[in-house]
Amino acid sequence: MPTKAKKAKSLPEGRLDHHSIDQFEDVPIRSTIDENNKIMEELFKDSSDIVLRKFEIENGPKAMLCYVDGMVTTSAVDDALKALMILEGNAFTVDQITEQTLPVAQASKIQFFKELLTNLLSGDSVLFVDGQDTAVCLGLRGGIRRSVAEPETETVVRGPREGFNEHLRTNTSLVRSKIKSPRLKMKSFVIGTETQTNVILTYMAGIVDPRLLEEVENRLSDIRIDGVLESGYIEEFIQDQGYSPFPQVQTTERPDTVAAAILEGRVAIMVDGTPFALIAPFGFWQWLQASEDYYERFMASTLLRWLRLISLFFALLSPALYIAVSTYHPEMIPTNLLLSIAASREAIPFPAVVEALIMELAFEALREAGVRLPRIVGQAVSILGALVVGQAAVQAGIVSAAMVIVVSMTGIASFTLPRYNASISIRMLRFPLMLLASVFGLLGIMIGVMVIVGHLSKITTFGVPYLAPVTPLEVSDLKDVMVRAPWWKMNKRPKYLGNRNVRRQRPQS
Amino acid sequence: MKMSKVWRVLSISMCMGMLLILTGCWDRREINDVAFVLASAIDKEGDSIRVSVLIPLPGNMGSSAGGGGGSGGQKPFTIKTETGNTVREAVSKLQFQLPRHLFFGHRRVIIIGEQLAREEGVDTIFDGVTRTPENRLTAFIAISDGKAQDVLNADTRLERFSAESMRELLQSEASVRISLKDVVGKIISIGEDAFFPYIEKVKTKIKGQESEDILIEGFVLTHNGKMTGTVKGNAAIGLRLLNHSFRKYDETFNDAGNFLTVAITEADIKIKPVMKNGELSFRIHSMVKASVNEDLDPNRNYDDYETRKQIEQIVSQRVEDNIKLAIKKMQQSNSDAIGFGLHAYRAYPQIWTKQYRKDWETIFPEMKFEVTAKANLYRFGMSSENLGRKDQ
Repeated sequence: MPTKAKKAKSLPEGRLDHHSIDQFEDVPIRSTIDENNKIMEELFKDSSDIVLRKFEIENGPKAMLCYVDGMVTTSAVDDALKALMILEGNAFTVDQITEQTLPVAQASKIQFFKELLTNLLSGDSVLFVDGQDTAVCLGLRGGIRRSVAEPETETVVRGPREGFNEHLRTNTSLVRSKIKSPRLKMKSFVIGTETQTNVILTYMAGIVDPRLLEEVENRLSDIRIDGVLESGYIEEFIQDQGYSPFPQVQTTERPDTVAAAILEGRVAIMVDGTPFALIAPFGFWQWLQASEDYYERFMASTLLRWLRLISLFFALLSPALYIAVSTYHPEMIPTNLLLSIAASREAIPFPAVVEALIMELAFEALREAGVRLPRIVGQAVSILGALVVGQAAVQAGIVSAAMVIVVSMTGIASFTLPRYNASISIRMLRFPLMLLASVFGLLGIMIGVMVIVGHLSKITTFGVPYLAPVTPLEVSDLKDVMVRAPWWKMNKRPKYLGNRNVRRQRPQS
Repeated sequence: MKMSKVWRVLSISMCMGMLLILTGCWDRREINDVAFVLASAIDKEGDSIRVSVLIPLPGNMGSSAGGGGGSGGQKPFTIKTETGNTVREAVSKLQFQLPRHLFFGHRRVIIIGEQLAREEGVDTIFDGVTRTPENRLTAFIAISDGKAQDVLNADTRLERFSAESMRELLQSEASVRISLKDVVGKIISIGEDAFFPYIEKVKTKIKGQESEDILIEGFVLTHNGKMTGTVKGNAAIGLRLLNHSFRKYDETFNDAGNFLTVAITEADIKIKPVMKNGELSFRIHSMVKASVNEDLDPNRNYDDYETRKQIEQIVSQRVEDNIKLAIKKMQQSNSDAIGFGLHAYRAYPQIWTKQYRKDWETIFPEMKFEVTAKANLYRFGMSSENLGRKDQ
C-alpha cells in the first residue's frame, strides 16, 4: 500500500492532557529526546502508572522507554533494555535498532503521536531515540488476564467448554484455532474516542454476502461515542430497529457459536474488554437454536427445539391465558379443574390479574436479586423466595396455589430459551398481554399476539426479514428451523442470508 | 421528524385502544363471584315451574388452600330453588337471592320431573335452556321417577355432587347418552320421538352406610314431547339394541334348573322397511356375539357342537324376545323412539310422504314387525370345562 505523505500538524493548543487522542493525529514525533520527553511528561501528568525510563544506549545517544506499568511483561522489557544498554551493538538509528539490536518479535516504527499513544496505552512499549523523529513500538504486552474458562451463560452438556474472556486477542485466537482458513477475516476497527476500543469484525470471505458486510462496516464506522465498554454499546448502535423489544443481534460467549455463525455466512463482532461477541443477522428462529443442537444427534435436537417452541408460547401466554380464561371464559375449563381453582381462589382478596401481577413481579424480583447478589447471598434469596412465595403466600391466602403453579411454569418455560436476550423480551411482553387479557379476555390476547406477530414480520435484522426463512419462505432453509436435519442432509448454507457460496458439502450418496 | 412519527404511532394505537373499550362487552367476572350451576332440576308445581339448581361451595370442598374451614360434615354444595311461569323467570328470581352470578356454562345434567314430563311435555322447557349461549348443548338430560328436586338433592357417597354422580351414570354403560342436542333433533322431526333415561333415587339402608344413590331404571318414552310410557329391564335392553347404542351386558338363563350367565359382547341390528302389496312392515334382524361368563352346570361339555348350538338358540331367543318387548312397549305408548318412520322415509321417500307421514301417529301402533335374531357363541372364558367338576 503506498503510504500517503501526511501533512504534519502541530500540537493542539492549551494543556496537552486535555485533548482526546484523535487530536494528535498527524502530529509528528519530535527529533530530540528532550522535546519528546517534555511532551510525554505533559501528556501523562499525574499519571502514576506511566513509566518514562531514560537511559543511554551503549556508546550511543540518549534514549527513553515508555510503557504502562502492569500492562507489559517486565522480564521482556528488562531483556530489551539489556540489549540496548549493555550489549555492544553500535546501532544508533531506529532502523538499526529494530533490525539488529532488539530481540523483540513485534517491533514497528511510528512517526505520529496518535499511533504512539494508542499503542502505548494498549500495552506496547515505546522507545524514543535522541536525534530520531521515529519511535519504536515494542509489542511486549503482558499483565494479568483471566484464563479461558467455561462460559457461564451458555453451558452445554456436550460441546467445547472454552469461552471468550475479556482479552480480544485471546478471543480471536480461539476463533482462528477453530477455522484454519485464510478465508477467515478479522477486520479491525477502533471505536470510542477516549477508550479507543479495539473491535474486530470477523467473517468468511467468499461466503458472506458482501452487501451485508458493507452494511455492517458502515454502521460500525458511523459510531461516534467516547467509550465502548461492552458489546452492548455496539449492539444498540448497529441494530435495525432501536425501538423494537426484540433483539436483532445475537450475543454469545462461545467461540464455537461464532465459528458456526460465520460459516453460515453471518458476521461476528468481537469487542475488546468483554467476553460477549455479537452475531448478525439474528432472526426469530435463532432464538430456538442452541449450540448443543448441532452436537447432539438430530432427533434429540429436533425434539428439544419443539420443546423450546412450546415453552416460548407458555412463557409468553400462560399467565395471560389463565387470567382470560378464569375471568371471562370459565366454561372453557373442565368442571373439576374449575372447582379446584375456585376452591383455591375462594379466600383470595385480589382479582386474578392483580394476583398474577403480584406473583410475576415477585418472581422477576427474585430472579433479579438472584442474578445481582453475591453468589453466597444468592442462595439465601432463593430459599427465601421459595418459602415466602411458594409456601407462605399461599397459606396466608394472599395468592392462590393455582397462580403459583402458573407463574412457576412461566418461569421455567422462559428459562428454556437458549438466548438470554430473547427470553428477556418474551418476559417483558408477558405484562402487556396480561393487562390485555384482564381487560378483553381471549380477544385481548389475540389482539396482543397479532400485534406481536405483525411487528415480528415487519422488522428486519441487517436487511434480513426477522422471521426468515419461514416468512418469506425459503423451503430449503427449513432444515434448520423447526427441525435440525442430520448433518449429512444439510448440504447447503442458509440461502436467506444471501450467501454467495451456498454449497456446504457434496450431497452424500 | 423522528419524534412526530413516534407520536403518530402512539396516537393511532391509543385511538384503536379506545375503540375496543367502546364495544362494551365488559363481562369480566372473577371466579369468586360466580356460582357455577352443575345441574338443575325442573319440576311442575301447581301451574308454575319450579327450578332447582345445584351449586358447589368451593369453601367447603376441603381444599388445603385459603385457610378454608374444613369439610367438617358440611355438604360441599347447596341447592337453591324458585318457581316461575317460565324457566328463565324462575332463574332470574333465583338470581336475586344469590350474592354470586349464576353461571350455566358448566351445567352437565338437566333433570325433568315426571309430572312435568307427563302433563306439560319436555318441549316446554327447551326454549328456556337452549336460548342463552351459556348453556351447553352437550348437557345430559334425564327424567326422574318422582320429583326431580329430590334426585338433585341425593346424598351420594361416591362422588362429591349428585350432579357428578348423575353425569357419570348417564354416560356409563347403564344408560344411553342423550344430550340436549340429540333431543332437539328428535323433537322436531316427524317419524321419530325422543326417549330419555329414567332415573330414580334409592336409599342404601345398611347400618352405618346410609346413603342415597341414583340409578337408571330404564327409559322414558315420549310422544310429541309428552311422556307416555316407560321401558324397563329386558325391554330397555331391546330398546338399546334397536337404537344402535348397544353396550356389553350380561344375560342369565335358567337352563333346565342350572343357571347360565352369558355376556352379550357385540350386537348388530338391521332394520329393513319392507313394502309388500302396498303395505309397509319392518323386518328386523339382530346378530349378537356371546361368551359364557358363568355356568352352574358342571357337566356341560363345550366341545360338543350340539351343546353350543343349544346355548346359541337360547340366547338368540332371548334377544328376539327383548326386541319384541321393546317394540310392543313403544307401540303401546305410541312412541316411535327408534325412528322407524325415518327408516321408512329413507327407503321409500315418495310413498312415505304420500301415505304415511301425516297419519304416522295412528299407523305406528298398528305396524307389523318381523323380528329374527341369531347368536354366535364364540368364547367360553379361560377354561372350557367347569373347574369344580369331579373327575370321572
